[in-house]
Amino acid sequence: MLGHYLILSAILFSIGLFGALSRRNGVVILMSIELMLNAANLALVSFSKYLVSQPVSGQAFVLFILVVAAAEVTVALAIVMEIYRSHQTIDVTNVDLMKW
Amino acid sequence: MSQAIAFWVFALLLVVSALGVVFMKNVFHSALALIAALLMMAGLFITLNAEFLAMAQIIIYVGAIAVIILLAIMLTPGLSSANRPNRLVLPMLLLCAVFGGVLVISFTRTAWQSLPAPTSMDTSTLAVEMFGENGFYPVLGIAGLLILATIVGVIAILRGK
Repeated sequence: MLGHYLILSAILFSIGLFGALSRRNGVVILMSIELMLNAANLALVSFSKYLVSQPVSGQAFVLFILVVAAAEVTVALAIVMEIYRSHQTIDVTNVDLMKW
Repeated sequence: MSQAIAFWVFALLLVVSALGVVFMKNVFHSALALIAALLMMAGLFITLNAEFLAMAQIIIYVGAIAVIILLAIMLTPGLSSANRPNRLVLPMLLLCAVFGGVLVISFTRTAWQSLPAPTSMDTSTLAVEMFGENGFYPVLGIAGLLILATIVGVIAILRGK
């Protein structure tokens, strides 16, 4: 059963990675990053159920990942709003002010 | 047995809604698919005996993060509604397929030494792990500091000139 959960986590991570690398919209990229974080959470929780002797330290890690994800998405969406205010777009291929 | 049925139902719906997040044409529909995916993840947490995490997932992700994302989509109208790919779709599809394949192969080839019987655990074990002897409670203070820094940073970014 552990293998099933890990394979599901790998599939979910790959979908999120593809979304983060291949989309233009900044908000969609953020949502794909959320998918990747969730895949890591799933792997941690399934490891903590099936593999380790101290059964809940994986769940404690997942709680902190939740906190970091909330902070990350809040700051990133604030940056997206600021980019929209200054560029009238959130297409990340058009935001190339610092590109050499 | 019932755990296996629940796993397959949640896993199928999770993969479908995750594909929806990436491939839906409308960004608003992508966000709704993200909410569905997060709810399915909470169900998977329940099948893994992590009930507290499932509830925290629903409250934090669906209740806070997804609502913030929907708000950001609402406040960036017009240009934000299209979810278009960039020029790198095919190379990235190949890259992610190879990456996922390597992950799956390494997960299936590894001989996991699972515990003889899954130990019983519930929310009180998690509470002992967090707040008991040698627990994670110093990290909780750092997490609170991180949230404070986030609030200050977001206000500083969005305050206007």
